Amino acid sequence: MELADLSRVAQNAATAKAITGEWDYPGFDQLLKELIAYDKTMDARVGRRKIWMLISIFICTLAFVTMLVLLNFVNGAAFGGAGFGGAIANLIVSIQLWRKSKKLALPEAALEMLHQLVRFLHQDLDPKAKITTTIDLSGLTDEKKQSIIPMQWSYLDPWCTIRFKLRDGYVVLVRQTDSFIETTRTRKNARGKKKSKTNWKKQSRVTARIIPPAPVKWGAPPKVDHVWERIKVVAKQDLSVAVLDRWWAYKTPTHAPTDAPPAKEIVGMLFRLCSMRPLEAN
Amino acid sequence: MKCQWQTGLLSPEPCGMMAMGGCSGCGQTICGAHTVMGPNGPACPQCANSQPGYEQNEDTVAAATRGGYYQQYGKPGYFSKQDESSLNNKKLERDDDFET
Repeated sequence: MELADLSRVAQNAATAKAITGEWDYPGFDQLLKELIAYDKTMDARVGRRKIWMLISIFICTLAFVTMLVLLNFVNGAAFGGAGFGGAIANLIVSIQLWRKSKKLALPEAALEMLHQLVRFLHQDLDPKAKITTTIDLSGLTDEKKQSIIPMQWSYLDPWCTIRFKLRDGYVVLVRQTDSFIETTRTRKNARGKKKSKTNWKKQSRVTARIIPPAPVKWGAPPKVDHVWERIKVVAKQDLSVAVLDRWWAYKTPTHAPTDAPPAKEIVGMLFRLCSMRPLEAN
Repeated sequence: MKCQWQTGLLSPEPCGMMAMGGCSGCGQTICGAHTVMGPNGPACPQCANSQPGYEQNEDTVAAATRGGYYQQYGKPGYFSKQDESSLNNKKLERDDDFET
């Protein structure tokens, strides 16, 4: 699905790389479906252009070798030079197009997670209330990059805040923040050549809250994993809010981890938080 | 008679539509939308998911998901002494980024 084939709302979201606003369930579901289809097209294009770029590198090398051979013949330098120049131009265009299509791609894992989350919970949503979202799909940009120490950078990406109301009047707020650490280590090998190696670490933190419609006495706390989860009840004004935090950690070499917390586990967090509601609400 | 099938996961509520018949597995009344046909007769999504030969649809998958959460986390109210102490931890009650 190309950008022109998307609805106007989806076009705006894909161009701005953000989903901000208030939605009803069918509209939000449709928007996510369109964005996922668009992202699949973009991913396929990135793949094709990468292949073209690799072929261009091969052609470039071949043209260079041919140019060296042709230098020994009359007028060979002109032909060889023209061929090599053409190959270089082709390579530059292929790299530019590959970079451009890479920039247009959206984070697939994030869209899939959101889509699954709303699909799991759509029957629980208050049909009269809207789903409020502040979602940033721009990924790791230079604005989010901070230097920690030389050759080590961190990125803080609070990319998702989603809020919706359940049928029984409780409001659910889910927020996800991803933090990345990029570390590059450089060393000299026996020949004196510099070799560098990059490692990426990612930590995803999901905070789920349920806000009661009126002051309530929360029930017993649910089962939590004491290593990766924290549960608490916070009081603000006359309301007490149940909060469950959970962390996930990922590690990959060379590129930023694309793994993300599965929607099923986020629903599990909400399920446990909702089990704290007073009995009449369950 | 109304359909007794509970819809939803976090705030389950009975479907409430007019029932067309009963589930051959558990006997609860079910409407046409929540009836799944199979070798043992009409069944509710939960029974259809647990019995072989029934076709699977969105409701049977939702029923399986809900069953999975009940199995994994237990019924509401389950907690250990350790969980209780973590809730009473005063340090955890500070939350500056609170938002409603």
